[in-house]
Amino acid sequence: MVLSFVGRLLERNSIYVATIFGGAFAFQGFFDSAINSWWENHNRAKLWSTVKKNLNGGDEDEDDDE
Amino acid sequence: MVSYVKGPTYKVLSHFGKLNPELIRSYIPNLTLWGGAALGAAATFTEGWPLFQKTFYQKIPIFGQHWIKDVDPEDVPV
Repeated sequence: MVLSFVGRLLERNSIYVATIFGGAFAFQGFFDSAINSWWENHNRAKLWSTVKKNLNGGDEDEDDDE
Repeated sequence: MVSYVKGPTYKVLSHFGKLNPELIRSYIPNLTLWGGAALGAAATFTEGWPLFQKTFYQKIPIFGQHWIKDVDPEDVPV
C-alpha cells in the first residue's frame, strides 16, 4: 500500500518534484502556524494582547478603588 | 500485373527545428506535470511575499486563513 504509493510518486520525476514542492509549501505554512500558536500559548502572560486587556481592566479597578 | 515500387517514398513532416506536432503532443503530459512542479516551487519561495500572500495565498479556501492577520488597528505602527 505505502510502497505502491511511493512507487507512483517515483514513477515520474515531475510528480516526485511536484510532490516535494507542494509538501514544502504546505509544511512551511503548517509549521509556521504550529510554532506561532505554541509560542503565543507559552508566553501568553507577557504578550501585548494579554497585557492590553489587563491594563484596561487594571485602570478600571484602580478608578473603582479610588 | 504486379506494380513494382522502385523504393520507399519519403515525405517530410511539417516541423520546427527538430520538433514536429506529434512529438510536441507526446511531450504535453510531462510538460504539464513539470509546470505544476514549477508552480509549487514558485509558491514555496514566494510564500513570504506580501503581494503574493494578498493576491493568491489568502484566497486558498481553508489554509488561506494562515496569511490573514487580524491586528487591532490601534496596535499597527504608522
